[in-house]
Amino acid sequence: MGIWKFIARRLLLAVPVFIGVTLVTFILMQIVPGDPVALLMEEKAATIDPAAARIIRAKWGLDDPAPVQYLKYLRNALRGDLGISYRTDRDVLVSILERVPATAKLAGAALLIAIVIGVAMGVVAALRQNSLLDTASIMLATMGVSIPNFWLGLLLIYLLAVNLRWLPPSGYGPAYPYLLMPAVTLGTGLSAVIARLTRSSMLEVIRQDYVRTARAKGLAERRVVIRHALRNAAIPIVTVVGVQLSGLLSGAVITERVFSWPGVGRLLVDSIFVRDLPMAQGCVLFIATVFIGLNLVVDLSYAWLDPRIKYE
Amino acid sequence: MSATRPALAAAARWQARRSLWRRARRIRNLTIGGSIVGVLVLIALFAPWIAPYDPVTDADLNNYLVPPGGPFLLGADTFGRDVFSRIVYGTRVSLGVGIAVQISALAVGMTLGLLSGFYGRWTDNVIMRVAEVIFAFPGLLFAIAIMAVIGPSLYNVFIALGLVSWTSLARVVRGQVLAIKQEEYVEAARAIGAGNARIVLRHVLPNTVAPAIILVTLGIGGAILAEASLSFLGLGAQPPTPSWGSMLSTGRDYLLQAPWLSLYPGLAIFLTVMGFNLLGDGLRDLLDPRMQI
Repeated sequence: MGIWKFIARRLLLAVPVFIGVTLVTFILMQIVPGDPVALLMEEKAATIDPAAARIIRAKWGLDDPAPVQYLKYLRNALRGDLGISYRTDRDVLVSILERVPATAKLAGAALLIAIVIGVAMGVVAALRQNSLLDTASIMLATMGVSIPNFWLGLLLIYLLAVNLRWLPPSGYGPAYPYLLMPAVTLGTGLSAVIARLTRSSMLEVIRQDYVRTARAKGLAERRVVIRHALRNAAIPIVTVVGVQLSGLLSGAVITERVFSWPGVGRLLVDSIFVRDLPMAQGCVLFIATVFIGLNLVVDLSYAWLDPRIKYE
Repeated sequence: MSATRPALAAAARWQARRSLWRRARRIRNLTIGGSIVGVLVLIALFAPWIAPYDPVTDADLNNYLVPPGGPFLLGADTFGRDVFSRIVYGTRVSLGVGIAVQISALAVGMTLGLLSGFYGRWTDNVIMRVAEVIFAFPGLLFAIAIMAVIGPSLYNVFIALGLVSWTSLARVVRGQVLAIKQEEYVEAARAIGAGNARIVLRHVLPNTVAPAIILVTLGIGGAILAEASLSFLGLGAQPPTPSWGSMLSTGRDYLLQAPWLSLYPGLAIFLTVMGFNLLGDGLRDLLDPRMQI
C-alpha cells in the first residue's frame, strides 16, 4: 500500500472517532440537570418570562427531538459554529482560538523539554549501563513518573519564585521567564517516561550487528550513537510520545490552573465553575479534536522514521 | 501409588509457590513498592488510632495556620485543623477511590474484553469502537467533562473515573483472549464438548489474570492521581472531606504564609502513586516480563 493510500485510510478511520466524540459531548450536555433556557435566563434576568423562554427554545431548536438536535449540532460543529457563551455572549470558537497560542506555547515548550531531557538521560544511562549515573537516572525517572504535576508546580513556585525570587510566580508574559516553570512542570512526567523508554530501547539497539559494523568501520562514537543507534531506537519512543500526548494535554489543564496561564485548559475549568455549558462543551470538543489530529501526525511520522513500515 | 499422586502434586505446587516467593524477594521494585503500599493500607485501616485529632471537627480558629513542630506535627490549616490528621484520614479517601475505581474497571473491562475477544464480530466492533471514542479524549478530559455535568463530589469522581478506566483492561483482556482462542487446548476442550461458559471460565479467564493484576495495580496509582487532580481543580472531593488534592488546592492560595499546606499533602500523593507504580512494575517483572506497558 502506498503512503497516500495509508494517509487516506488513516484519515477515514479518524472520522467515526470524531463523530463518536461529538456524540459523547452532545449526550453529556443532554443529561445536565435543569433546563438550559432557564439556566441562561437566570443569568440575565431575575425572573423567567415564559414567552421569552418559548422564543429562545424555538430559536435554538430545543423542542426538536434529540436526534435532530444532534445532527444540527454536528453540522454546526463541522462549520466551526460551537455556539454562543452563556456568560460573555461571544462566539465559543473565537474565545477558544484566542486561548490556543498560550496552550500551544506551553505544550510545545513542555514537549521540547521532555524530549531533550528524556532522550539525553536515557541515552547516557544506556551507554553507561549499571553505573552510578544509570542508577541515578532510573531513580529520577521513577520519581518523575509519579510526581503530581500540580505539586511539582507549587514546589517550583515556592523555591524559585517565593524564596529565590528568580522567576515570576505565575501569570503570562511576553518573556520566557514566565514560560519556564510551567513548561518544566508539564514536561517532567513525560521526560521521565521518555527516559525510561529510551534507555531500554537503546540497550536493545546497541547490541545489534549494524551498530557493531558502524563502530568497526571506524565511525566516531558520537556518530554511531546518534545516526545508527538512536535513530533506530526512536521508533518506540515516537509511539510512546504519541500515546503520552494525551497526558500532556490533560496535564496542561492542571498546569494552567497552577500558574494562572490563560490557555484553553483554564478556559475549560473556569467555564465549568460559572456553568457556562456551551463554552465547556466547546473546549472539550476542541481539545479532543486536536488530540485526534495529533495522533494522526504521530502515526504518519513513522513513515519518516522507519521506511520498512508497510502501512497496513 | 494412587495415594501419593495428590501429595506429589501438592508438593510441586508448594515448590512452585516457594520459588515464586524467592524470585519476588529479589525484585527491588516489588519489595519497595509493596512495603509502601502495605504501610499505606495500615495507615488507612488504623487512621483513628494514628491521627491525634479529628480531621474535620477538631477545628479551632485560634490555631489558624500554626506552623509545624509545636502541637501540630505538620502544622495547622486555615481552620486550625491538624494537617497530619487530615493527611492520615486522606489515605482512606485516596486508597478508597483508587481501589473502588479499579474494582469497577476490572469488572467492566474484564467482562467486555472477554465478550469482545470471545464472540468477535459485531459485539467486538461495538465494544472496541466505544473504547476508542473514550480513548480519543485525553485522559483526564473525559472525567472533567463528566464532572462538569454531574457536579463535583467524591462519589461522582468515582463514577467519572470508573467510566473512563475500563478501556485499557478491556483491550488487554481482548488481546489475550484472541491469542488464547487459537491455542490447541481450547480446541481440545471444545472437541470434548465443553460449552462457551466453561471454556471462558476454565481456560481463558485464568490466562488473563496476570496482565489484569498488573494493569489494576498501576491503575490504582493512576486513579489516585486523577482523583487528586480533579480535587485540586475543585471538581472532586468538596470541603471538608480530607482529600489530598483539595488540601493542595487550598495550599496554593497560602503558599507564601503556609508552605506546609502544600508540601505535605503533595508528598503523600507522590509517595502513594510511586508505591503503586513500583508495585505494578515489580509485578510485571515477576508475572509477565514480556508485557509492554
